[in-house]
Amino acid sequence: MEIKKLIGWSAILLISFTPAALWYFLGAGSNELHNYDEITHSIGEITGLVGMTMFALTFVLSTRIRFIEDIFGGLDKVYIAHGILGGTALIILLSHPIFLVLKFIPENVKQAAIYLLPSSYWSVNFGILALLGMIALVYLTLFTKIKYHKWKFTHEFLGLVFILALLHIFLVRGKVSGDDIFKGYYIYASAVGLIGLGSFSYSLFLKNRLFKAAKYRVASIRKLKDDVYEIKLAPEHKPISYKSGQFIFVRFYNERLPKESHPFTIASRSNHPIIKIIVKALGDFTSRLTELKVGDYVSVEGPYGRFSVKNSKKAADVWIAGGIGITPFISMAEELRFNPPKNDVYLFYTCRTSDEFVCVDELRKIEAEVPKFHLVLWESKKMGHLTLENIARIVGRVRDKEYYLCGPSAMKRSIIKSVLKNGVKKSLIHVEEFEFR
Amino acid sequence: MLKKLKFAVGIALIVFVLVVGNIIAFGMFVQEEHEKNDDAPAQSVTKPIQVPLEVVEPPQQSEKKTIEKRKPAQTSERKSKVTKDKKQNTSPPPTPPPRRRRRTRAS
Repeated sequence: MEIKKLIGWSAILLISFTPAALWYFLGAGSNELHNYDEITHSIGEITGLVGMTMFALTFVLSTRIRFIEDIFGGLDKVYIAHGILGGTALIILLSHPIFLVLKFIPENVKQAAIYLLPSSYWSVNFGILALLGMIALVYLTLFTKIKYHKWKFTHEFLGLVFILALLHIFLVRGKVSGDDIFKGYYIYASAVGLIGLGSFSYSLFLKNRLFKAAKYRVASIRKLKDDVYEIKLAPEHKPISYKSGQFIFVRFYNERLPKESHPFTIASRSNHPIIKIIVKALGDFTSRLTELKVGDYVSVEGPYGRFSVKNSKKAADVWIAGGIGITPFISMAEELRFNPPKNDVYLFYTCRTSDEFVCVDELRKIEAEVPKFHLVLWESKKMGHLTLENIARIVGRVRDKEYYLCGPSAMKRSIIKSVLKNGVKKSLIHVEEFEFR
Repeated sequence: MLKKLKFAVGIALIVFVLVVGNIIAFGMFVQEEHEKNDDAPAQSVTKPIQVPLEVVEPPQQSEKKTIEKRKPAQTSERKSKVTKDKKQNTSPPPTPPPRRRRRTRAS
């Protein structure tokens, strides 16, 4: 793991477990761990505190703030961290009520059941509602395939769930529990509330007001294949500056399209005023992009991502693209025209059949212009899956190369596994994540 | 990573549903049983137990001892309390840690 990323995760864990340390040193602490009742009750309290802090931090990770992106090495990685943290928070919070009622079992199961059901204690009911809401929304995210805009809409309700959870942690101590959890408990609860609600409000309301998205218009739409389109966006005013391989969030203002923003990889070279994106009709939104018209107003937020050759520690060597994962490499290859590489660059572009390749003519042109750039087209139906052995046959030694991968998860996983087995350092493998959900 | 996350969350949800579901189900079952038991003496009200009024002689010393010994053994709660008291009586009591909690309700 990169040092920066390690620092990021360490900071998250440190902040998450701070209330547990406060509980131990300023609160009940070891004095309370004498018997089964006290141990289970204490674990119940700690899981509530830690889970709630993690829940608040998930909102921080979804703010798209640049320095967080720098720490995790790209927004795609930040969203992965957001998912892992959210899932972990849910797992910990699920154990919170269970540990709290364990003290009644097996002697007084009835009492345990009463604690788990809604009652006249609203401070506890808020907690029950928050947990049920969190379960429902995380379930929708992880285990269902609802349309992106519907999922995004439902996901925003996690803010409401957080408010309910905050009401629970503020009211439960005074009204119901009366536990002396630790000195300064209300300061802690306020800090958690401020972090969570502040980040949520920033993402939902403030960000768009503070940082206006750049205005663009659809300049051209070109059909590359049956289900693949190239869309060019021209700036209305000042164009955004970006690096090849980065991505943007685009909101199309067309009456037939949903208004939420979607991430698209930039396929044009660094800082080119005309932004080119290549879209494959994979999802519900992308399949409706045929409705788009030239001149439609577009807002562009970004750029994001760190999948860029300019950030490499040494000259890039092996680029591996699967399917529509070619888009960042089109941009990076374009870049080579203006910044010729010192070492050889091999682009392995794999699709199931030859019909699925896009922008091959453009890439062949670049290959002709840049002597150190080599394009290898790989039809997996005919030639079998692209493996590291196949790659080694063309590039020679695999150990001293730097790898860039973008494409289907299964392809990335199998290649990364073999590359690591061959002794390549993890820091020399760069992966662009496709799916944000 | 997403697969592992899905797996972990899935398992946690199943465990949560099973544990909470069982506690609630058993809790309700116990409540029903209690209600049944509560109803039972109400029926027997129609047939009151006749307690003969007798002058009971105070028991002799040996008898008294046995009664006193038996009484605390009626409930486990009492038993533990007696043991605790006994312990406290046999050795000088250490300063007890301040009781910080009032566990009337889960937080």
